[in-house]
This record gives sequence, C-alpha cells and structure tokens, in this order.
Amino acid sequence: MDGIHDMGGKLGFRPIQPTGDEEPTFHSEWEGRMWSMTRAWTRHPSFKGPKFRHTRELEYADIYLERPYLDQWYKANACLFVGVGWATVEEVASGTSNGSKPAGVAAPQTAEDVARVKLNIAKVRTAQPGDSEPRYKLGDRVIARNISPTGHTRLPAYVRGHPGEIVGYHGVQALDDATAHDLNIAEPLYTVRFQLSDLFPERAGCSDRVHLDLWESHLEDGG
Amino acid sequence: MSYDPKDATHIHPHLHSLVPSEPALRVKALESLLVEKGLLTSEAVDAWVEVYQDEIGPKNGARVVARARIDPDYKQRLLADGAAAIAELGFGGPNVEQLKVVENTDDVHNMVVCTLCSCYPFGILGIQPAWYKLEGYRSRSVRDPRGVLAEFAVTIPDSVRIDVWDSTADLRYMVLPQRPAGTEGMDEDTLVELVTRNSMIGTNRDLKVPGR
Repeated sequence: MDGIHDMGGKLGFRPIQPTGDEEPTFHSEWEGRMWSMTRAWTRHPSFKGPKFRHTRELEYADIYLERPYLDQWYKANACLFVGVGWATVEEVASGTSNGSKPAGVAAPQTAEDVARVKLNIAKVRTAQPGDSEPRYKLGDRVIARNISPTGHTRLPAYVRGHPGEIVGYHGVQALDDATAHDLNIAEPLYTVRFQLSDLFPERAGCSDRVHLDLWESHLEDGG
Repeated sequence: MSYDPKDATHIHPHLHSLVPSEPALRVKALESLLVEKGLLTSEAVDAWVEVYQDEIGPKNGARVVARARIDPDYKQRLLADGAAAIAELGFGGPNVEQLKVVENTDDVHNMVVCTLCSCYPFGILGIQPAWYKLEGYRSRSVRDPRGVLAEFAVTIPDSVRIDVWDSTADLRYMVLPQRPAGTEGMDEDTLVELVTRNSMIGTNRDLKVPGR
C-alpha cells in the first residue's frame, strides 16, 4: 500500500534524536504495559503479524506521524479485537465489558506461564511438497517490480523498478503480502542487494548498498 | 469470526472518536476490558514488564558479541546461523528465529533498519530505541546513511563501505561490531561491558575502551 508508512528514501522528516545506553527500556508505565499486553493476551487465530502491520498502516497518515509508537500499537490491536468480534468499540473506549465473553478460548496466560514461555522461539516454515523451486540463484541480476498494490506489501517504493543482485536465498516462506489478506501463498524468499547510486541521484559515485528481503513475486528478471 | 484488515478503515476512525484522550488512559481501559473478558491477567502483564526490564535486553546481544571475541569457532557458528548460536547461550524470545549477524570489518560498516514499520530482533536486543521507530531514521538510513551516522556523531571514512539491511521479511539483523584495539587479554565479562546497544544496530562503530 502506498501509504505514509512506506517512508524509505522520503525526505522532509524531523532530525533524529539519538539515544544510547542511558535510554530506559520503557519511557513510561503505559508503554511498558502496552508492550507487555501484546505478549500476555490470548490471541485470536486471525492475529497474524502481517494483518497487524497492515492494520497499523491503515491509520490516517497525520495520526500515524503524530502519535507515539506504542499508542499506535494500542489502536491497531484495538481494531483487531473489534474486528474479530471479541469487543465492541464502546467497550474498548469505556474499558468496561457489556457482559459478553469470547467463547471457546483458553484460560489467559498467568505469571507462571510467562516464566515458561518467555524465551520461546517461533518455528520457521519447513519445505512443503508443492513448494516451487527458486527461479533465481546467488549472483543473478533482478529488477524490483514496479507495482503498487492497494493492500499490504513488503516491497518498499524506494526500490521499485531498480536493479539488484541476489545475495541470499532463504527457502520458501509465507508471503506477507498475502497473509495479511488471508491468502495462503508461500514463495521463495531472497536477500537482494541494491546500490544506493542506482536508487538515489545524489548518491552517484557512492559505494554504499542496501539489502532487502524480497519474495519472488516482488522481482522480475534483470539484464 | 475472521478479521479483514479492510474493516480497519472504519474501525480506526470509530475508535478515534470514542477512546480516552490520553494514551495512558486508553491503555488502562484496554487492560481492564481484556481482564474482564477473560483474555488477559494483570499478573502476566506485570511479569512481562519485568522480563523486558531485567532479562531480555541489549546485554544479551553484548554477551553474544563478547563470546564471539573469545571463541573464534563460536563466531563462525554465529555468522552461519544466528538463531542457533544465541540459543547455545540460553537466549531466545520474539523475532530471533531467523537472525542474521552481519560483521563489521575495516572495509565495511553495517546498519540495520525497518523502513516499513520497526521490525527488530527483540529476543537478543530487547526493546527498540525510540529513534529506530521514527520517521527520521526509517526514511534516511537507506538514502543517506552517512548523514544519519553524523547525527549519531559517527563518521565513516570514504574507504569504508556502508551496507544497510532493511528488515522487510522475517529475517532480523544484528551487527557484530569490531573488537577495539587494546582489549587483548580481556575476559568475556569485561568485553561484554564494552558493547553498546547502538553498535549492534549500526549507529555506533568504534567501541570505547575505558582509559584509552
């Protein structure tokens, strides 16, 4: 989606305010609780990363730029709870239940559960029968497709139409662009290297590079 | 009932018009509601706050970096399979199952970003810095990495190439900063203390050695 979130290479934003090791983990109590809630709450099967990200992307652009990051997590997650029918907007706003409870959900996570699961690592998708063979091999020249999906995509605008080189292959993985919309599509995933001098005119002569992890449908054959 | 993100286009403004005016109040209301609905316990929230304040943070990444200094075989395993290597040291958590560690050298400086949102290897580095999530870093690190580094008071010589890594899929990246001169013979615990959070993201290059 060509929204405000796709900001790689855009100019005109405020200077960075650097912080270092003195920065606290959480800047305020509410931030710590918001982050931690996302670890602790029961998830509906529909709560997948790409859907969450796309929901945040659908926040109005001025609000996206203005509101604190974890406040945006609040809003996007509130949309998910309402969207799956586990809460109404009025309940979320008031903080008070109308008496209904989601049916058939497991008991919520306890502090003992946290101790048990805190270091869990997610499973990586393994190869499945029917997975396509990768079209590209290391060293191949490709071009990032110049597409503008109106839904979720992890192909940023700043590389579209530009040439790159395949420098990594990571097997067949679920395509985020599809997962966000409940489509079950998995494709070969690559790391693609772009020269900044190819992407941005003021970087002519610069040797710096940027690497993106792109799926096969983000790419077309290069020269 | 499945959720279609298209619904967000009307849920977002509806929520916006009704939720409490301050983030702290809205988050508190959400927590109360979810507890009432049987979807959350406040003790679990308390427990996770402690986990991220005390256990899962950049000190874990620093330990990995220090171990790689002491043990060259560990370093090779780390560069080959970051997830397995950090698990050897008992580390884990969100978004490290496809961890790629990229090594700084005399010729290359690495920087990590997520231009599209703020993806970060939480399990090994903890919570992202505030600037990592904001527009300035996300927009300019891929276009003007040297200008961004100058805002962090870091100058990269022209003889050093910068490699930026934009976390667009599920791989997550961590930088292995160079070992500073004058640290030969230091033990692992001492080496841990030298590693800054920013050096593992790429907005710090030359680690300082106290007294030098």
